[in-house]
Amino acid sequence: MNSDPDAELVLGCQRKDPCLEGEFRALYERFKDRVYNVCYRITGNATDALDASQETFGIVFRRIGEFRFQSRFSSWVYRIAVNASIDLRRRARTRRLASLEVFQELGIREGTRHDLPDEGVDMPSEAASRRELEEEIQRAICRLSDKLRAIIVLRYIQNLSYEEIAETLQVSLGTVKSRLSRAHEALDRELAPLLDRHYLG
Amino acid sequence: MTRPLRLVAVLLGSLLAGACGEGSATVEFRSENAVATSGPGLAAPSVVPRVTQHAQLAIRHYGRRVVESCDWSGDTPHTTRFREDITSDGEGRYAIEPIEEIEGAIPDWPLFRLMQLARQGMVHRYRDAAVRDTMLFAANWQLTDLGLQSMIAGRRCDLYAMSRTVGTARSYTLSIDQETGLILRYAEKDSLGRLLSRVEYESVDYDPDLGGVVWYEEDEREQLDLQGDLAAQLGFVPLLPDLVPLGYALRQAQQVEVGDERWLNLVYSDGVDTLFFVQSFPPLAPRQGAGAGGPGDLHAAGASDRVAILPIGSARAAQGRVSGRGIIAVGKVAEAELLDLIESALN
Amino acid sequence: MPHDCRESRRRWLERLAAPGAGGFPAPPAPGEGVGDTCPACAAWERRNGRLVRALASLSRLSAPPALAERVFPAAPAPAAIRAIRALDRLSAPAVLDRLVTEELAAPAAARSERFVGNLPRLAAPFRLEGRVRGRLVAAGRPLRWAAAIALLAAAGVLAWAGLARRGTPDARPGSAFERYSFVVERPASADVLDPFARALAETLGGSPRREG
Repeated sequence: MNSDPDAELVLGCQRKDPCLEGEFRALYERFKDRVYNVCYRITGNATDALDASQETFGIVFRRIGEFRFQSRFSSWVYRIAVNASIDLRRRARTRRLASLEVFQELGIREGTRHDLPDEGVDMPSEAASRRELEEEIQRAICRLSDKLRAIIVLRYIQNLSYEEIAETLQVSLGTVKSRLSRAHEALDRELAPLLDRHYLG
Repeated sequence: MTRPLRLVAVLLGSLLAGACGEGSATVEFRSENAVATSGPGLAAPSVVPRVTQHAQLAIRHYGRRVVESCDWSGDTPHTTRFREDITSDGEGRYAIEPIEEIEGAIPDWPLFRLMQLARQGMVHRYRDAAVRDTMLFAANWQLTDLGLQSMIAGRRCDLYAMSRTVGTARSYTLSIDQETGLILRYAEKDSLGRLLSRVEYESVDYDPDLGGVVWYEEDEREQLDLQGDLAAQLGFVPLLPDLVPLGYALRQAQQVEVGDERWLNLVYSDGVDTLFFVQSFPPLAPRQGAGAGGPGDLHAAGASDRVAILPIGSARAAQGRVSGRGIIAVGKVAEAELLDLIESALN
Repeated sequence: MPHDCRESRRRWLERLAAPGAGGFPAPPAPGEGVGDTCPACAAWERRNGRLVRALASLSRLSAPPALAERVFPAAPAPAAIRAIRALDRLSAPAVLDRLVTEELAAPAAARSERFVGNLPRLAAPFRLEGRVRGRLVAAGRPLRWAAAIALLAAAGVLAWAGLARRGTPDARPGSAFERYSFVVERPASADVLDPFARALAETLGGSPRREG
């Protein structure tokens, strides 16, 4: 018997032709917040988080038939979400441009392309100090490398164990420990002054 | 959307509108919802069911569209353009009628038109961009929401890119009517980004008067049971390729009667594109009226096994005589893939 | 950083992640870890205790409704009611059936009847050379030798002229290096194709092939 808590729904999806309702919908409901949080914390803004979450569920939908329970289903979903978010960040500078192909298709020369500025999420100007702290922490997370950012998010936002993180990122336990330690060193440098202020204040 | 971004979007939209030539689609950025301006991203899985061939057939409409195809096999590309009318009652009946050539690029329009009329069934089933098998589509293709809109035939469309993720690169850009899901425009490109084909509606009517429409009558085709023993169903052992182009899988086997000949048509799909492997029923009868000894005499009894292969538009066709059978293989695949498929059927 | 400090900080992090640490990571209890013996590590633990609390207290967001709309968009709205368009449709002319039947049944004959003055000039069939060679071997008479040589030369000239005119070096049979058990030919004209093959190819490929 499969001990994966999501096994029943996953098998249900695999037994039928691709269908957005039923089991897939149930899996979506089960994972939507987790996926969105991972995507938000890795991409750093709501717009990209939405795109990455959408992409994650798109991949899950397309590939669920290939999932063979060699890891927890949740680890597989987290892995897709992490990769989709990292990939989206890499494309961030040009993400609001239509593909060159489409522009060419419409007869637009390459020279007419315009870079649109990357924009963050609108924040209320009267944000409370806690909100400011969250923003600073988020900015510090975003300054981490992809690998360290992913491990911080999985560890402290998703509260995954080392084993689960290793399974999700497909790295060894030693690598998880090493990366987490490096991430702490980096965040300590970035955030210590802020946390000093915050806790003193 | 923030004000700076909106300004840039408007500016870009103006540039695009100004740069688009006559008849081109006008690109507009969504302006109401910042989320929706996020640009390219994987399309929601639910878009896939909307672009399946079944969904397209279920949309009752009449439209006039421009059909364009490019042949890159020569020194310079050769483009064929013509207008056609399509009528669908949304319940399976349809008519596709060529109306006029454009720019006189078709050597013999009357004959071309007659041939197109005769091929309505094939055109409807195999020509236009659509998802024909969702499982294979999921395995071989990716649908990307380009985050853009366009106006086609007065209808607001979302733009998607459908690109092959395995094997020979190929992509389609789709403009899908936001309300109905009908693909109002598609452009097909090869791995080099060259335009292979394009179909674009000039007008569309979703509530047409269907009186007087001459519906196309489908040929009777005996579908064989792929799960069963094909040899037992056919009465002979068919040639079955062991090596098919990457991503393709056998989806149908059917008997086709052309004149007094019977053919076995094996229909492969990669989810979007189709590949045919057709073989004559043995024994192979010498054809009447074909010029014996001429290059068209690929069926001549006694000839050594040989296969002629040549590109036709974005497809490639092979025809010949092997192992005492007439064979035809047609698909949007590389020459080696098509020849390998034939060779693998002989071993 | 001394090796011991690095190791002790890793162990401190591991204890946070150990089963039983409960829910979100809790700050280490005072005196826990190696801070007692290393001032630098003690300070690090204090700072990272705060950091872990801060990270763990980041808001948990709910997926916005827009995500569901993207993944599960609503069914397409019914088609807009549009004015009924009167279609002036004609029945297919009676000649259509005859022409199409003719085309499918006897393509070469039908085509030649309609386009007798417009037939492309074809290169000499490639197997002509083989037939000529065969006859040469079988006959062996000087007169036939001469005739055969002339024929072969003519075939060569025709083939050369055909290739030069078309400028398509691929329009020749497969070479000896081809790995197939059949001879591969690459004709320049789609006329070699059966109408059924041509119909399939032109439907998929979309382009009536340019001849010559």
